[in-house]
Amino acid sequence: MLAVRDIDVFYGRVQALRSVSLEIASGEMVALFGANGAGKTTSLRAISGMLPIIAGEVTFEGKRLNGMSPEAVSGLGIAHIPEGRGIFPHMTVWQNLKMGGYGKRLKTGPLSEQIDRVVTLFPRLKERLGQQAGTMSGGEQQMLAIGRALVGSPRLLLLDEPSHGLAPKIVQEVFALLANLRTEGMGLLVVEQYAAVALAVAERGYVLDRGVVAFAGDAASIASDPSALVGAYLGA
Amino acid sequence: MRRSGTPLYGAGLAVAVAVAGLVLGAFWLTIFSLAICYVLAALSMVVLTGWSGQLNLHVAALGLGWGAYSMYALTVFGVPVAIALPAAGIVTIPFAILIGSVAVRFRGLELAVATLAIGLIFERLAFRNIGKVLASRSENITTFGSSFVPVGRPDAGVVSFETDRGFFYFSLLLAVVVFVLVRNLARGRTGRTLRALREREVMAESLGIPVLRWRVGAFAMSIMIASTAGALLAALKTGITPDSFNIDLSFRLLAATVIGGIVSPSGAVIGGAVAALLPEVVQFGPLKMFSGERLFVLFGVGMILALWRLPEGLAGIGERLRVRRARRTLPAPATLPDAAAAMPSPNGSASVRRVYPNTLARHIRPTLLRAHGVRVRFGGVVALDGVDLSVPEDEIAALIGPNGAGKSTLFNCISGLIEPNEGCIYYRGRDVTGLSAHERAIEGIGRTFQTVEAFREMTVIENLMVAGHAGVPASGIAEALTLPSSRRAERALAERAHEVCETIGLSDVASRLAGELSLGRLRELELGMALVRRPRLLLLDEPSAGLDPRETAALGEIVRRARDADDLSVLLVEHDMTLVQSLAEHVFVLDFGEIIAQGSPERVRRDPVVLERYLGSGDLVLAAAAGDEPARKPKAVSRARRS
Amino acid sequence: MLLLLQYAVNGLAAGFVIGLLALSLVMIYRSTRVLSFAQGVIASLATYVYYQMQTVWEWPAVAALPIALIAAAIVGALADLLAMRPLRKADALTRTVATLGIVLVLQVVMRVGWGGQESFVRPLVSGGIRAGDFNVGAQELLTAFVAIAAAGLFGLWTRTSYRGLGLQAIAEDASAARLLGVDPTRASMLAWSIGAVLAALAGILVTPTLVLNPLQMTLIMVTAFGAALLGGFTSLPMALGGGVLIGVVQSVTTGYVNVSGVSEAFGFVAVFAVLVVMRGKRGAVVLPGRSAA
Repeated sequence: MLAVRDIDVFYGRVQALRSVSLEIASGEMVALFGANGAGKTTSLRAISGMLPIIAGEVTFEGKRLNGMSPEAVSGLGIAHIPEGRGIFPHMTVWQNLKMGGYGKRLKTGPLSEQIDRVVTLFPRLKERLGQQAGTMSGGEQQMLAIGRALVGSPRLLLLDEPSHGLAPKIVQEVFALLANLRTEGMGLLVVEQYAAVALAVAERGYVLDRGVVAFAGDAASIASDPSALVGAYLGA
Repeated sequence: MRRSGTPLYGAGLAVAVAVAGLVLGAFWLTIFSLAICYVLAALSMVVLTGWSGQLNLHVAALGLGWGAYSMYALTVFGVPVAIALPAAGIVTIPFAILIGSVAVRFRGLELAVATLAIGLIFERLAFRNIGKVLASRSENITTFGSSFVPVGRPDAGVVSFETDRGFFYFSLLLAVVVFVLVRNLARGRTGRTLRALREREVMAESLGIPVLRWRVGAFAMSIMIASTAGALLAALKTGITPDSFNIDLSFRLLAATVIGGIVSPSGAVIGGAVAALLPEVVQFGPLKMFSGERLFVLFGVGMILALWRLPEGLAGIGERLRVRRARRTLPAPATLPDAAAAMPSPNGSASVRRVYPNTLARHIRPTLLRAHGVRVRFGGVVALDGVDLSVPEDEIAALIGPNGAGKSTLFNCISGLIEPNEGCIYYRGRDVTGLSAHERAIEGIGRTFQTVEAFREMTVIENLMVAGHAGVPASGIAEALTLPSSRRAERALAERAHEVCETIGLSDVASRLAGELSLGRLRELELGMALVRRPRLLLLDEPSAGLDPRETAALGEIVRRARDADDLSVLLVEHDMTLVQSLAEHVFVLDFGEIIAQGSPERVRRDPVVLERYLGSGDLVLAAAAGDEPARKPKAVSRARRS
Repeated sequence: MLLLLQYAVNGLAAGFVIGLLALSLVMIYRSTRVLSFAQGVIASLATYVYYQMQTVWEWPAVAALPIALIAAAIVGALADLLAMRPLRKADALTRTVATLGIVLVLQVVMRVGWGGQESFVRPLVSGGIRAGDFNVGAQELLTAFVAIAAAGLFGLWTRTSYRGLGLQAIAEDASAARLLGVDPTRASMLAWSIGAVLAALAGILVTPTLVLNPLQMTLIMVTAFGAALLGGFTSLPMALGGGVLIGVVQSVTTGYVNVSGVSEAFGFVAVFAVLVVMRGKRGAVVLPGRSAA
């Protein structure tokens, strides 16, 4: 579904990614690990068009994404939920959810259907449709961010540190929900710093270390021998 | 602001214009005199915008008008015009400082709007009424009641400047004097400090530069120059009308200055010339359709084009060529050995060159830095929750932790950019919690930043010199007049800068613009800037970010050398564990705003609590902590595909 | 006492006009971070177009008004296309300075087209209401009504339509909005068009009580900065309300204090005062300039 081949990405003059490659098939959840500054967020931003790709190629269902603007990439069915969630704090929950339909300009009927679907998945949002998004708790905001992305029926979901600032119990909830999304054929690429919870759910994982893929393998092999992970975080 | 061009160009231009003045007729003499007024007005904007990045949107009222009315007021009280004119600029200084002190508390856009508002208040309210009041006091009864205020031309007794030609030479002389004074300031300490302030204010403050004071100074200097221009303008037109200093003029002058180049004095010359000469030029040939008021279209379009393509204006073209060609080197310092003694050390006494690292155990050595019970809250979020740490003298310590742990916040507390809600920071036994960043810099705490904060628009040596003189008081007047005391200080600064340049290994690029250096060398430069004033505590914020292993190792070498050579402790925030392992003697692990572990790098790496925080919980941690042998190299990249 | 009230009421219409201009400023600022100094001249230009049709060619107001508003929308879009779009990579302060270029160009357009002397526009409605010793002009009532209606409609559109929500989204979090499909260049042009229409309304409504000259609206616009600042350059209702407040206080002050230039200058003093006051609330007003981190 998504193929990233040998990409180089720069922040100004600093090379953030060096020859990075990864793959995601539909119905698969892949985790991306690494220390801060390793390039995890950069990878997501390169895929969604927020950062230019200097070398290499990114293709999504056969289409080349290099050089596309974020607006265009989202139109292809790729939803990127950035770190910090990117909800609109002064808009209501309902308005936020409606923005999920912006790309497709969903008409009232289909839009209501989608929003209903989302609030069924996230019952806590149902009670707060008229509430200002910025007044909700971190966990609720995360659910809103995911729900908003789902309104547009994306085929690939990019999540940046969904556990950030959330209590462990809520993190479990969120990941369980993400796991269920796979059954609909959605692909998920999840960036996480806290490996344990992601490894419990994902099929495969990549470990980034200072801009390079240091390790790639299925979740089971990373969990049973975490030296590569530890190496990336705490030094070889 | 770019370095002003070599003095030859300026002198040549002045001479050429002076000679031309001998043959021109009255009409053109008036136009040229007008150009000189506009050039000075443009210079005032260059000083404000090019030097300190602020914008004055109504220079006609907030500047020119002040000078004109000040001069008129002086003449009403009996001062002859020949003295009142040049004095007008100086007389406005107290007011300029007053308004400046208020204005500079605003930033960017707010300041621009504030200058517009203040300018309009003066234009529409103050000037008209002041004019009437002053006119009623003057002996010239015919002017009472009308809004036209007559102004005389200077008459120095022996030489009269009343004629068009005479006045032209008077203006030229005055303008040349102003330019020379400004240029002296630009090339020395003042220019460097203001350029640093404009490019990176936070870094400048961390180096010890009292930001507000300098911004007020730049503002006042700008108004002073504009006032001089305004007084000239009034004398040229032998009168002031209510419309003399209206918003149209301000916008036109701003546009012309942007076109000429709002960042350099040569831009001011071009801009002023354009503003005065363009109305005449369009009388001829195909451009005739732009005559009269249609001229403004050219100003408007020209300004937008300049902002789009030539942000440095027409003057920028010359600068770009010059920078590309010339490799200017400062004269090599005569002697090096005594340079260290010449620089006043912030420690008071000359420091002993230490060759061997301090081998006393950590807890016996005197404490250099201590943080006690530091708590920081941002709104409802607790960033630091009671941090206690101490760093003794002569130690290299590291601060690590997962994303969002609070490392930057803690760093900012120690360096003075953030004040903690609770808790104290002690440095050399003193409570420094209340000191600002630049005060701490003066006390001997140096720091670098994650985004390299070297000043890219200055050369390597200039960067080191700014770091050397930031915050150290010096006389601006001595500098403007290039007195020997000021020249001596410059030389000493340059010597120390070259010394540090060698320590960090950048001697071969000393005269290159910092912006041309690779990231690794930029970081070394930033390190050098922190070392120039011989700090006792050096705070390094992710020094290896973006560097490859070779550059990281080189940087580590420099840090170790610097620590061994002087009384120095280093505290670094890092994610690159290779650097931490090789460099740090003691490691603090921060998570959720508190220190969860500390010790030698090896000990910390195996600590189960630390592993749990980084990896999450459970089997992963056990598996990792169980691995006792030295960690293997990362596996070769392998692919496991779902079948 | 009655005199005070009369002054206050007189100031209402001017206040709504200031409020409309403030709305247009906030509209553009929120979506693009640019403070458009050109709103004054756009208002004037639209008013000249209206004047041409309604007073010179003697068309009925119901025809002249919509056409003038459409013309304004086009001018706004062109301004964005020619001045803002080339500079889209530049920082906000640079783009703000560029709006001064628009001012210079549009001023020439007006001077070339209509000579730049002062002209009078026939009011939309005449007559008024008397309540005892009290006078309210019909034009002033109309102004208040139109301003409130426009602000209301516009506010509704911002909250419910996709494009309107998109503008708000860009203002709150530009990258998140882009990731949802909002195109920032189109959003900018839309903001400028709408801003121009609001400014045009302000100009056309105020003009019968002022003379028509190119500089006038620019000065009122500076007063509108103050109103927009009261809303922190983000709140639309507060911008409108702020305008009314300033208009009323300005009128009352002018009524009682008789020094030349005071009424104009009051607006500017108000702007400065608001800047100083809002400065105290750190974070309430942030107009990012070059020194923003």
